[in-house]
Amino acid sequence: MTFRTDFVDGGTAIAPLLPAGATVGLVTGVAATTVGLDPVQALSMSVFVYSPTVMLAAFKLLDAGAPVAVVVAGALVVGVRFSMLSLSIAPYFERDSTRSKWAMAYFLWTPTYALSIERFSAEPGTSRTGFYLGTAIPLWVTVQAALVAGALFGASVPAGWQLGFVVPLAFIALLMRFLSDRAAKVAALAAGVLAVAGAGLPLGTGLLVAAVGGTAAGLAIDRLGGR
Amino acid sequence: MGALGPGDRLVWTVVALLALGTYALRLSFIQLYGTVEAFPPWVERALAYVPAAVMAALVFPALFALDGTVAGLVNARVLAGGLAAVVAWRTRSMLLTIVVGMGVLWLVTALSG
Repeated sequence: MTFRTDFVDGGTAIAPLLPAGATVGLVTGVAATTVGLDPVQALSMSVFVYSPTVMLAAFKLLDAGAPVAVVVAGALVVGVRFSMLSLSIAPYFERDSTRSKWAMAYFLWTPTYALSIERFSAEPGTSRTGFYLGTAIPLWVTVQAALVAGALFGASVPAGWQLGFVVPLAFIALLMRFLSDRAAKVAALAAGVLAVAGAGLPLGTGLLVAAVGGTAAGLAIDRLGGR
Repeated sequence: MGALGPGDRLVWTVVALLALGTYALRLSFIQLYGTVEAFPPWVERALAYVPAAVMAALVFPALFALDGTVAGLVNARVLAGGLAAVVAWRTRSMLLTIVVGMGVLWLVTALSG
């Protein structure tokens, strides 16, 4: 399998998720205007930071009048999950050049991560950078374009459409692909319950606790031989 | 008007620091893996469960919790998400999952509203 064919496969895999990416971009663009960013600032921020969740957390703190140190620290706590994704996908890029690793790291985001992990473990012969970038680049373009649209046109989509729900639906579709054995199911259930219980924790730390706790629960079942 | 004025230098400070921080978090283990001593075997085993745990941690609060409080076990989102999960499980189709989920959400909202 070549870089080119696997790049196309990646593009095919990400295509159904692009509406969800567009929704996230749109919401982030609208949020950027509410804290006083102009479209150019919003797009620059999104290109450099490339994480709507981190940006939304930063906007919330800026809006509350928090000092720079608190804004940055608070928003980065939300981004700590990236280090979990980084650890999880790292073995697949171990033999890549440093330059390639640096490029892959820039595009590391949940949908790209999830599709790539699934493909890499199912088909070891995949051109990993090809497939990964095939999912990452269309998603990047979609998110940035939608973010500019959101920053320019603001909140003209009626709230009654509940378009934001597209995002959890996309994650549901991805989640079902990872429930391969009993330990994975336990990991998901434990993480889900912990995430709901921790939903009130500040700055999305509940998500982090849930991801770590769920992984530990899966590992425990694995070690007990209950796969 | 929001919290920031146009041309505010604060914006670029925040952007620069967040850009460095998120990139460092993303690069962390991709860069370190293989250069440090091998991770203990249990870490490698644990990695198999990260995808399911992360996805579930993102999904569950969107269905069961709203604005930081538990929203209850039966609401339009739970019904829509539950049916979407069945569709995802049976068909593996992402598009169909999203279409069914949004359709059910709108239907339930319309019927209950």
